[in-house]
Amino acid sequence: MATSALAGAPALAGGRPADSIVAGPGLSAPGHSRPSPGPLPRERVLPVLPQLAGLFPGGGLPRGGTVLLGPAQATDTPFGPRSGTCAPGLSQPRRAPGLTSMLLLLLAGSSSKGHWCAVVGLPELGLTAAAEMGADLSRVVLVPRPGSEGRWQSVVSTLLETVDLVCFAPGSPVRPTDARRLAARARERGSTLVVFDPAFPSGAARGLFPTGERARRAVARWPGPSDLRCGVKESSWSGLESGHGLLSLRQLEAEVGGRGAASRPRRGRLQIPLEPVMTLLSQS
Amino acid sequence: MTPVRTLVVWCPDWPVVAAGLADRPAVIVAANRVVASSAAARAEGVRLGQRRREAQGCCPELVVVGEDPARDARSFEPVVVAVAEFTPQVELTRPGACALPVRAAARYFGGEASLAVKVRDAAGAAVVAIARAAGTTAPGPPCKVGIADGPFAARLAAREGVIVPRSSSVEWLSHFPVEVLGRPELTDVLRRLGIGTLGELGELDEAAVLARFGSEGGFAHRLARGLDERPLALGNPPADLTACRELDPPADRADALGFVAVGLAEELLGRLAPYGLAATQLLVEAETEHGESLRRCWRGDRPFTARAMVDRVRWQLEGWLQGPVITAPTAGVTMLRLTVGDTVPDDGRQMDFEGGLAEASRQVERGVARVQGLLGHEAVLIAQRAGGRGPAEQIRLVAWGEELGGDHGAKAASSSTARPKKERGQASRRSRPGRRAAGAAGKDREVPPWPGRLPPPSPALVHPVPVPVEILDPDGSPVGVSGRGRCTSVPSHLVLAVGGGSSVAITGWSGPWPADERWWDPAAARRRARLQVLLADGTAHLVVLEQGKWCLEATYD
Repeated sequence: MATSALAGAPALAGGRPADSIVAGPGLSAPGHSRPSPGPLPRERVLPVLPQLAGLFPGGGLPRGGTVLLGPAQATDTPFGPRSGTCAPGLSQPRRAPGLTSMLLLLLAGSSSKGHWCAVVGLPELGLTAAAEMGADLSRVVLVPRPGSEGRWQSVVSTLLETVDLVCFAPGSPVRPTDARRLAARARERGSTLVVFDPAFPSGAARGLFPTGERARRAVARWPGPSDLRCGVKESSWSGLESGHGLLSLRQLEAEVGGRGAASRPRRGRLQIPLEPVMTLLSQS
Repeated sequence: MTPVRTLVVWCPDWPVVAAGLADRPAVIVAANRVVASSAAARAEGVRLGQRRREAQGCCPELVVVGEDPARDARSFEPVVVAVAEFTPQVELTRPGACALPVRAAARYFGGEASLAVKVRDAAGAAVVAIARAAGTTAPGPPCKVGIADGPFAARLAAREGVIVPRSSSVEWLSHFPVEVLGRPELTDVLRRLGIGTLGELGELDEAAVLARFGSEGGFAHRLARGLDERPLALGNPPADLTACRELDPPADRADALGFVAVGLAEELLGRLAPYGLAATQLLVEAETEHGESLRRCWRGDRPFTARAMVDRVRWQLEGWLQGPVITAPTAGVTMLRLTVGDTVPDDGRQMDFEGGLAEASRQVERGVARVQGLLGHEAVLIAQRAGGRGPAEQIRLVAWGEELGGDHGAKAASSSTARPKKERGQASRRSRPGRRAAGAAGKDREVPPWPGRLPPPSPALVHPVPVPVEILDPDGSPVGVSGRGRCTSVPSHLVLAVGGGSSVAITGWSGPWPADERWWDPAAARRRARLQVLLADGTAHLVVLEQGKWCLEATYD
């Protein structure tokens, strides 16, 4: 599948052969200058949709790891207005449309392979969309309201002991000690914690106009460690015209960076509804 | 082993009585089939096993109620209390029937006939009280009592309301048709082999029956010969078949006790498993802070699974804790004890295809039960796809552990992704009630018809509380939707009503998709029109107009 997908891919940074980037098991291309980080054994990753496998080291979410789904780092962005100032030391949170879809894709990947998932603190998640992406809703446990301070910690850590993938959207800034404790629990139990932190103001209007005053007040809620950081660089819709058409095709440019094998961020473009394969853009 | 002389109390049409519908034509349906009916319904020609539609065709004023074993068990509790006055060894087979050993009680109450009359009167009085509490004016069908050797024969005797003389049960049984065994697949084959009565079945050679029909056939053969339902347990059962848990603080809700029971049931089954045994009789005992106690014995047709054990505990305690004030406990439950009374060799149960998955889901069940203990039963949900037009209506959330409906999520999911995407401009046809029912029941149908439903992809964010917005045309006046389902003018700006009223230009829009729902029911009728909008900041949303007000329903994030 990889070769046909990448035949039309743009030239890659560093001139590395394309198929070395799709780091599926058993796909380590011979004869390139640096040994690529070997694929993780299959037991050590949770499956993602095949279209996304090229983005993640080892072809899946690391078991025992923490994955932060947050706004992409605000550096040189051709996208989104950078308005106002922000607190010193904090990068300006950029609007990241498409982050919820990324979360749904991750859920679809794990649950469709029979892994149990849990979603904590996201009453607004569009589960119809998840099912359309292929998620098996009977394997997704929902805890929309994990309770007040002092409660949610035990809820999340109990679920980390129980299911393979826990998606957690903090309702308020998480204390560093709690964050470290949860990450340690995930590591200990071999489950994956996905922290969904789009740095949007909470409430009903999540995802709405997060620029201006509201965006300036919104800060990242997850202070703690993350092994992988997954963001959406760019998103566009097509199919809708003025007065006719239909939102039918979405292009997302996702970026995955982090520690270790993922220290060099990988970027890829994917389409929703999903194409059979993803176009990997670069591994800068 | 000679069968124990048994008395069975049978309350006919119990599910109907429990639902408070015994005095009118009513049926209880499960999976679209009639499983119980009232006498009035039967007089109109309703039969068990009919489809709901057929039953309604026989009798247009028929009341149809869904099956609810918990309700049946809860309301049966007063009858059990009344029968337990005679002997504490009451055994529940299913709600609506209970059995007790005759020997000692008959001697005390002056013979079998006298005991039968006394038990019938006591149970009958309890049933009348229940029916009155449930709002039924006329009393339900009278209770029936029968005595025979062994529970199976006694159940049949109760149906006829007779006392079968001692050790003549075999003869008496031999005239019954094989259908009374309650195993349709087996009796179907027996009929075609020319075996019509229990007597004919009993004359066959046991080994031959076992070889041809397996353990199920062997079981039926035992019954036909008037032997006890369960053969002697092979091997020695473990001595300690009791699991007990002290509760501190005391629990006063049946669902909290259900969580405790999960652990106890697992423990019991774990202890039985090494011996290759399965439990068919379960004794559930609960004790409160004030020393009140309740013990009930449950007997299962099939060996109990952990889930079945927990269900029995929950039913029994719900009936007790929420029952009439006189019998309800005055304090929280401090002790719960489960005891396995009777075992059979565990001849296997079809498990998940991959054993690992089954093990994993058991672990998930335990973990989720702990979260439910922290947050409450309703806090943990599981989603299921349902029929509907709006993004929120297409998902039904069910509390974890409760029964899911028929339609399964995964199937619908895969089929909808496979569908062609371009099917826009659904006309605003009025949906008919028949359509709706077909959609809800359509298990096999891939995509039920929901005219006015937006095609996929669906929005990734569905706002729990719709956000009020305004849609303005280039002149700044509000946009509406006409009765013919068209926009009155071109939408050009979206203004967020809250948060300072920031205005964003609309770069693309489509629709409206009108949805005129439940117009035949004034209380539930809703008229809405949905519009997809793409904003200048790159975000896409679904806005909905209802009663002249636009709201942001969902975001394509």
